[in-house]
Amino acid sequence: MKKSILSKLMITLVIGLFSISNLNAQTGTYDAIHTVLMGSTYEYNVALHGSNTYTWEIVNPADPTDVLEIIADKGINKQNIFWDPTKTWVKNGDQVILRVSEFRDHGDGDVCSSVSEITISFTNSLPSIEFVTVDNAICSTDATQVTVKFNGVAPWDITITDDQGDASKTITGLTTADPKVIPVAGEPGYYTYTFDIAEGDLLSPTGDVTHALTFTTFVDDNVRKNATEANGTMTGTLSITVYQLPQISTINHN
Amino acid sequence: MKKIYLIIALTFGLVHFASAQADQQVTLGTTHNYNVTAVAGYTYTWTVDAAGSDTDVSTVTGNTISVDWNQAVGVYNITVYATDATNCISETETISVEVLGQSSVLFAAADDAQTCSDLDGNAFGGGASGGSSSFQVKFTGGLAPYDLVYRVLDATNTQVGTDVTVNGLNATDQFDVPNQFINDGTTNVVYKVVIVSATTKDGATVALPADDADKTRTITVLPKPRITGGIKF
Repeated sequence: MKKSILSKLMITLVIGLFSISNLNAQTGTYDAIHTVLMGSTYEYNVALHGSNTYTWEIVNPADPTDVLEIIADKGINKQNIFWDPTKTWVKNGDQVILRVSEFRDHGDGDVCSSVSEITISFTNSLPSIEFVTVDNAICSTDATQVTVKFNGVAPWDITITDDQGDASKTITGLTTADPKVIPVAGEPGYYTYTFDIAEGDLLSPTGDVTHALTFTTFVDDNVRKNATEANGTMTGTLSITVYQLPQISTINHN
Repeated sequence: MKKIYLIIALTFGLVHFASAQADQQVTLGTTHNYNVTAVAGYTYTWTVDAAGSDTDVSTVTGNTISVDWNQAVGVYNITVYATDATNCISETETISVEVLGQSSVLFAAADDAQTCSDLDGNAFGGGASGGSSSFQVKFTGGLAPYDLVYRVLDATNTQVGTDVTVNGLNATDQFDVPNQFINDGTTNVVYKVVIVSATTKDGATVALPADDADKTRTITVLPKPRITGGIKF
């Protein structure tokens, strides 16, 4: 009787400390719902406690007793899980439960266990990006601001190239912690990001030249972990005309 | 020791700065025109940093301005930039203009001259002064070189010949008056050389001294020596 009470107490203590998290420092701990891109691989982990063992299961959210797949039985505290789109329960818009059970064998016949779960929500939508800034014209040596709108999962990498053979504008590791990444009001999951481009950046050579800017790379964390997709959906072209500065002679005097 | 080096460096820098030559020098009170090469479709914005009604060129949009430098002596900048049809602006062009004070002139030395009378037909009559009398002048202020006009008066203050213009005089310089005087008398004859007017290089009038003594010099013409009795044979 005393052992039973002690076991229950230990289970309660362990549950309080136990949650699924992710090892990737850039993304941090997953929220209660982790939206994943079908076909992608993500790493999950729970805190390691001594020599405890961990069982990883996929569970039907409508029936917690319906185990769809056992990924690892009494395995280690972390798993790379490939969300295989060929599986019947991996469907766009559907959800499953990722459950991890932790077991501690006290060697006296008592095995304490605890459970942690997160909801996996599947999507087959790639992140998208588009230009918000409309076509414009600037004077050579001036800078212009370009705003893009996108969605997806941080961190984002963006590359923009112009049609004049100039160097690319590359933005890497963009996260929502950047103060210039601003959520779009009324459009959850969408953000804008504004940056300067200038002569010598994307806009050379100068001299009444119209530069057509297009996205050549757009990667978010889902794309980065996807087995087949190299980029999100990139839409639009931004034209910026760069006018050559007027030339002036030296001042003559009598 | 470091302080000494610093003082030397600062002194050198100040001297160097003070000696920097402006792009143009003008005389106070003169008007000058400035222009850049005109380009169709451009408008021009000028500024002259000698703020004042006579140097306000803010309404000018053409490629030429006229500046009346009548404010004060000093160094000023003229700056211009162009704006094209796309509203792009050019780099600026600037020149510095040093406005010099008004000028004056006077004879620099008490160098009244003496010469022998020419012979008949203005043949050289000998004497140490040679064929001309030299007078030193000194200009102060204004833009060199200067042009000077003088005239010669006889003893009755009647002008001899016409006014003579001497061009290109430096701040300290001299000019020569031809000794073309004939004195058939028996006593010395005194002629006056009087400065009538002068102008700076940029056309400003040079002030003349109020005292006649500073703008007048004399040429004393000695009488011809005479041979009396003719040649005996």
